[in-house]
Formats: sequence, C-alpha cells, structure tokens
Amino acid sequence: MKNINGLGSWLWQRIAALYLALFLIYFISSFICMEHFNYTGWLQWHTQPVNSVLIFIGFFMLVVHAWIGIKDVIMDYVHPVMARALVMMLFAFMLMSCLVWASRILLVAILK
Amino acid sequence: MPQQQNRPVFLNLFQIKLPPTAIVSILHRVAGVLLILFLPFLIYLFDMSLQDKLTFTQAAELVDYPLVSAILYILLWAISHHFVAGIRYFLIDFEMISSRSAARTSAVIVFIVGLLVPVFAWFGNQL
Repeated sequence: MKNINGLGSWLWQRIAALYLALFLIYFISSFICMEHFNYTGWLQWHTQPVNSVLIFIGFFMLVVHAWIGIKDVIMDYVHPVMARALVMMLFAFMLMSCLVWASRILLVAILK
Repeated sequence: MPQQQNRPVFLNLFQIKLPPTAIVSILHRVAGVLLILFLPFLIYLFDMSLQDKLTFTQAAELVDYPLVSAILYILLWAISHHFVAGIRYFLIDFEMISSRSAARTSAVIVFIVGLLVPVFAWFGNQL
C-alpha cells in the first residue's frame, strides 16, 4: 500500500479523461452521421460488437474518473474523519451501483 | 506549526473578485459534481431508451417536460464546460499554456464555449 492516491490517481484521472473525451467525440459524431435518429438505429449502435465493448470500457472509465474527482472534492471540503469516510463510502457505493446498473442495461440490450 | 490565533479572515464570497481562471476552475468542479449527482437519472433515461420502442418514446416524452429539459440543459452545459475545461488542463499539463495572459484568455474561451453548446442546442430545438 505505498503511494496511496498519489501519482497513480493523478495519472488515472487523465487516462480516463482522455478516453472519455475521445469516446464522447466518437459518440456524438456517430449520431450526427446517422440519417434517421430512431429506436432501431439507437439500439443497433449500442449493441454493435465494437461499440458495446467501447461503451463498457467507457462506463468503467467514467466511474474511475468520477471517483477520483469526487474523492478530491470531498477531501477539500469534508474535514472530520468520520464524516469524510462516510461521505466517501456513500459515493463509492453510488458509483459502483451505477457501474453495475449501466452495464446490466447494456448487457440486456445486447442479449435481446 | 505556529499560527497566529486571531488573524483576520476575509472570505466574503460576494466581495472577493476572482480571476477568470479561478471561476473556470471552480465551475469545472461544480460541473463534475453535478454530473455525478445526476448520473443515476441519466442511467435511468439510458435504460428507458434501450428497453423497447415504447419506453424509448416515453423517454423522449419525459425529456420534453419543462423541468426535465431544464435539468438536461444544465447537464449539457456541465458536460460541455467540463470537456473544454479539461482540454485546457491537458494543454496546461503539456505546457502549451504557460503564460499568465494565455491562462486568462484560454479560461475566458473555455467559459464561452462551454456556454455556447447548450445555448445552440436550445436554439436548435426551437426551430
């Protein structure tokens, strides 16, 4: 357990940010290029093999990025140790639930 | 660490005048926190949009409610501001923005571009 939350999270924050930025550009351009935006096109885009893998990685990167970000904010504003631990656990639980929930939604759509 | 006990503290947020760099930095944080807090709602919409044709249409209707669309415009601002402010931080990391004037100018640009995205989206939706 060395180097807790040091260079590691600084670097991960940026790796995740880069991935999310590139993914966002890809996501938006995909739908700008789509002729008719409807349910079928939306579903197909998400369940297409390459896209679905990119989305799964995207969910993971989003939660990593969000966790490091919110952790820094909490450390700046919540000082009592117990309160800090509680708020951090709350967000950790919330973000992990979001990751599982979002992944499940995509998986169900793929297996349909 | 010796510290002066009754040192003057001047933290009236309505009287402190922050430079654009500081404002953009704080808004980067605010936008990030906002996006995290509304993440469950966005996943809920994502779920509706993918389930079937009916829930897809219901999601589209839900998005049209004034309160919901107001929230989504704010979130659109949050993501566009977070995105461009993030690019600015990358440029600072790679020392492409290093002078004081470049830092200030880029902060103003980030603020304006971040606002332009939801404004254009709103105008686009009125057409």
